[in-house]
Amino acid sequence: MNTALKVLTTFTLWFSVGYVIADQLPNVGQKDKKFSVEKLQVNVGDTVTFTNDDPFFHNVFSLSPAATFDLGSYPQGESRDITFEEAGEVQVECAIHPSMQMTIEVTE
Amino acid sequence: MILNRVGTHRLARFLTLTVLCLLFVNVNANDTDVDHGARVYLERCALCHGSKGLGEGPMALLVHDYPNTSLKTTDDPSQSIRDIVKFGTTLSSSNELSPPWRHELEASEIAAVTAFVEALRNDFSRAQQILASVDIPPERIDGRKIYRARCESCHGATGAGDGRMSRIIKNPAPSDLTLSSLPLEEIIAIISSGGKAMGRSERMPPWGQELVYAELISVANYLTTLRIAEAE
Repeated sequence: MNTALKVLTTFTLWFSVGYVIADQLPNVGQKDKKFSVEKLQVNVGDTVTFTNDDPFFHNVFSLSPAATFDLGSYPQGESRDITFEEAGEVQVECAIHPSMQMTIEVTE
Repeated sequence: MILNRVGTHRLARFLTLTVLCLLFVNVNANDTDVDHGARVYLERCALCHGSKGLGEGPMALLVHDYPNTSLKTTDDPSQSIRDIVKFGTTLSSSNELSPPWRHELEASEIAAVTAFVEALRNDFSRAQQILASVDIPPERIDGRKIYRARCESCHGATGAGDGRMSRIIKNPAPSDLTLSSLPLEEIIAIISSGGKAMGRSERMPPWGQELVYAELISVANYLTTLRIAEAE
């Protein structure tokens, strides 16, 4: 009963807020020139992995005040990690494909 | 004999004109390439290399310890510019931040941007004139990134005039852009000409020397989105 309630609560949050709530190391795919999720919620100190599933190079960067980074350009099958140190909204983009964008909400 | 001489002169004149025409067409083709390359450059490369090619792109300005992205110098003269554009990080001599553009740009675009970067290195003044005349829609440039790199230190993340430089810039303090009601043309003029020329704070730099016109418009457009009155 308790487990069923937890599952129900988790699904309710997913669908009502529209965010994926990370309960383990989140892995965001890059496929068909899109990030696999549009929004992701993580905690300060969490590490997010970005994996290129396309047969061409991708990049991951952010110029948001809460996290400013460039993880470089990498081919299919390779991944890059970033650990979030500050709370705030982080706009994540690909420098090669400007239409690729997602948001990571970093909370305390 | 006379006819032969006349024929020879005509032939020589014809050949001279042909060579001149070919040279003219070639020069124009190169100019077209460089113009086209400048547009591709602004859309694809200015994020890191900057709109002047001096390494002053928002990425290079904001990301801590970013490598020098100025195009006026060559890290590895043995690599052709075309190969660096085309293959990027897959070349052993390139760093992993440099994307390989061969899957993203047409061959003609790679040739054009190569011609532009060569022009930038060989005749910097001419390349700057070409950049200034590029007709690129402002919506193709992200004014928010330019604001973050160039304006936020004074005007703050939300435009409230509370950037970290506001601790030392007083009388007047950086403008609170959220309260602005200036028309777009006046905002562009202030950003471009700087505060002093517009009878405002001398601390406001003339960004027209650093940014191309489409960037000025796109950052001005972004400023209007920071207005509280319009958001409410």
